Amino acid sequence: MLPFDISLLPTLISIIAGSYFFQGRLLRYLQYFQQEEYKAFRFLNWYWHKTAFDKRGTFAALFIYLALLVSKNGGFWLSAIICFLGLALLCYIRNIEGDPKTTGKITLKMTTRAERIYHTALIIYFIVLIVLCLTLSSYHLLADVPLIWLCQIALIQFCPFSLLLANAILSHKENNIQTKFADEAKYKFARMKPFTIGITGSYGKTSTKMILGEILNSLIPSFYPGKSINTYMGITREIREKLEPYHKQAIIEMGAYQQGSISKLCSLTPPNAGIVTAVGEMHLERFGSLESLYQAKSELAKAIPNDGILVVNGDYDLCRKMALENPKKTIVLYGLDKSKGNLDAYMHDIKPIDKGTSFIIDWQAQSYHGTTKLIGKHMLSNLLAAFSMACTLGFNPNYVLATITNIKPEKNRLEPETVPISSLINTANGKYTATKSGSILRLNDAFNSNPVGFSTALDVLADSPGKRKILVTPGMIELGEKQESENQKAAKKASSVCDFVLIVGDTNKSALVAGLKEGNMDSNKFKFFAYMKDALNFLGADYCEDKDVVLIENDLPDLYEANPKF
Amino acid sequence: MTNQEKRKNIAILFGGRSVEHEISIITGLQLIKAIDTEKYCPIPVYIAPNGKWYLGDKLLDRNFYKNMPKSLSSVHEVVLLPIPDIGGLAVLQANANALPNPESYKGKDIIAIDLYFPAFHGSYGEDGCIQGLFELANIPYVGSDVLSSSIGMSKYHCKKLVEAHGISVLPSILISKEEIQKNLGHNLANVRSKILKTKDFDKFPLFIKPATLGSSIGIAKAIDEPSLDAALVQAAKYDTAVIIEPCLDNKIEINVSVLDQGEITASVVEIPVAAAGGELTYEDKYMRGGSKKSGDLSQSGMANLARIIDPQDLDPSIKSLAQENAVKAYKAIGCSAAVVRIDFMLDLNSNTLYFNEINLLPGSLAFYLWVKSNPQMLYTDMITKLIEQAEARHILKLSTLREIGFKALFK
Repeated sequence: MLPFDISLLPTLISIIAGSYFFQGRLLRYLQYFQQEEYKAFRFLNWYWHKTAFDKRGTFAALFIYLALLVSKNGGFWLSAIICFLGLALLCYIRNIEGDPKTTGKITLKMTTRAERIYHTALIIYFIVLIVLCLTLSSYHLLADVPLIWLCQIALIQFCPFSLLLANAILSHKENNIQTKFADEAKYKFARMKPFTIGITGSYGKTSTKMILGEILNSLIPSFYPGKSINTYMGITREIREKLEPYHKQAIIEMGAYQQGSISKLCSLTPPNAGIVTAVGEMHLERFGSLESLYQAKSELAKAIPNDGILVVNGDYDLCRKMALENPKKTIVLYGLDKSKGNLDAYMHDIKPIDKGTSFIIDWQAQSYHGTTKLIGKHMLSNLLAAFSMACTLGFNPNYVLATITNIKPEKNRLEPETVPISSLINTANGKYTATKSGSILRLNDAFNSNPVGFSTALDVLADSPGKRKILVTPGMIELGEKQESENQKAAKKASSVCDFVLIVGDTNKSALVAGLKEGNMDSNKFKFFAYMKDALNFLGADYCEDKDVVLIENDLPDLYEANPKF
Repeated sequence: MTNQEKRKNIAILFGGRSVEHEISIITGLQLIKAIDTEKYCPIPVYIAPNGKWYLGDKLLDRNFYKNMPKSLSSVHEVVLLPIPDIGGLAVLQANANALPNPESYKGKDIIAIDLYFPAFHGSYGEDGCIQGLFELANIPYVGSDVLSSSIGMSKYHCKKLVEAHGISVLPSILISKEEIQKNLGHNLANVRSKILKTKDFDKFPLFIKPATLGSSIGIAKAIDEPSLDAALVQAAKYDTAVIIEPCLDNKIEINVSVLDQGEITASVVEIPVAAAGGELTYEDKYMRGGSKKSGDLSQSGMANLARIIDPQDLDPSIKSLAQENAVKAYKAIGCSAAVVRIDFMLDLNSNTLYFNEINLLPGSLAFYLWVKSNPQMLYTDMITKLIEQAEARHILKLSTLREIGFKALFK
């Protein structure tokens, strides 16, 4: 017998085609699995709601299967050619979809964990494949190519589940690694023992952390993880990689993902002081009720020792309640609205100035006048939180204000910028050409929108000088049962401010339309787009004129945009 | 022996632990492009922001820097040991794909270097630090020595020195970061009132700069007390000391380059132009002229700045005074084997020319001034002159008698 039976050539080609395609699919599903933080339930939920089953590969395989059936009597070479065609077809599909490591808003990051899951899933695939081949061969069906292509369909559909299986197999090992890392971080943090300030709240955590970080760091070397790193493993990693012995202070943003997640963080980085920026609707769906959300946020206040410092936003009733229920040696209430009661730090006379805002803060029986490059009331509230904490720690108020004057707005957080119209166009897409001259004022508030942020961004849009006021938004997410009403409310307000509204994706489409209609906005004044980049391309190539103002409110990850095509 | 093998190995060092890291890469790559390859074999040496030294031909490609840290694995990691007569850079981690290949010398893997040409800007590269390492290793290098580099780097000390040599300077105050930050910031009001009580500093606007930083980083103009506070805090963020100067309301900046080509000579003068009037910013200096992705390297960095070279409407007597004072300042600060750029300010109200600062390793080595000078000097020739001066200075130094004995120990 020959070492290779030539009659198995079509089978071999088919298996190569299937394996190559499977590998590509695996990476694409992994991209979304990663965005869902490797949570099986969330991934399945996404998979189901977005009907993210493979269609392209399945149709291609089905097509080849039918072709093979029709030409069953065409002889060996014809079936070999058809299988080869199948290989070409699957290669083509994989190639047009692009590499998930470079395409998409949030690209696939091949971390060691992603690598492990990917490789394990591939091994699972090959085991299944080998078992399948052995079974077929024992029934002498290995040369039955149409059957092979039917099996391909099953294997392709199995792809997302191979990831879940791989993750489940690895979960024990993964947990061990994480526990080890967390223990190391805990030990290191305890040894360095910086004065620790925890920050939590429904909105404004990250901005408050960055502002406070800049202030404290200007006098005492401080450790504050960048961006919105606020999870147990995220902080663990930052501590292991970036905490240095000269860091005398640490500012830790604490995200409440479920009951107990802040407590867990407080055991990693025990706080000496804390700030609660807001208790509101954001992430309501994770908790079910406002009460349980309140309890989750209270975990920080509870973890602060009695002789510690608690700074809370007095503009929220639930924050005031938290301060009453968790008496500490120093309690500071800050806010922009005195109607809810006494405020220790009160910001008023907020006025727009050239490229920024001026304000007055009443603090310990004195009034301090300050200016900042930041805009929007919610941002000023964050600024006041940082001011209150720094001054409570003994920093000179004027020094703090001097630091605040220098702080630059963060990217994508209501960042105003005058840009040429053509810059809106995504140049990677050859479809649009930049022909328009002139410039617009772009208010980029693409980062993580919430009801308060949305509303103030609209205020800023209304106050900005310019020709037409344009809003681009996919709406807000993670608001639980209030998601629909909050989006509708925001859209209603937008209808009174905007000349034109671009709605992105279909997550909040109906709620936004309802709001705009409620505000009597003409239906030719709004338009729908599947993706953010399509909306911006439309503005850049067709709609915008010189001196228009464009507010980009929220930009959702691919997960929430239009249905991905598989 | 062929001519190729006789060529001297010149290490061009760039990058470094400085805020001007990126600009230094441009200067370094420009220099390598311009060096006379008949005489010299340029070897690029890159100091990464973390302070590690890398060597290899891949450093010549601009994409190398875009693909860091991945690309770092395609070059050798090297180090200059502070021990005399090793004759080159010791290889810490060789890479089989990088050129040139290390050779074995006295049991060590070495890449032979005949002379070092630093193309750094700012901290650790322009301020005497790396020069100290060259001195310890006892090897020839281009540019000013330790003392003149460190004096030139401090805007305050440099002014005091040239003033003693009869060159006009604006008054200045030096304040340490410690003083600004003392007592959790409660000392700031004292610092402010101390500044405002000083003669010549009692009215706004004032200029606040980090004491040793270049490229306009951290510079701010104070127009009232709150903006003075903010400017002091900002400058202290970048440096351990801050310098305050009065602000001339009607002035132009005039720059001159000075080159040691055996004789100390001055170039033509130039007037740099800020984008929106007022002061030059970091963006003006390095980022204006669009984002040329694959633009001509010789037009990057300082060579890219909008400027008027040898302005025709500038009083010739001012031009020659600037050139004269530039040479005088070069000598007063003690520079040698160097090309520097000296920045003056001309007060248009009083027609007074003030020395402002010296750049010991100016962006693009100020070659754009020399190609327009009379007689013209091409970049390639300028580099050759500097290398020759550096070699001559090294020989001069070797000839100084420094006996080290053990007589006292074994008397």
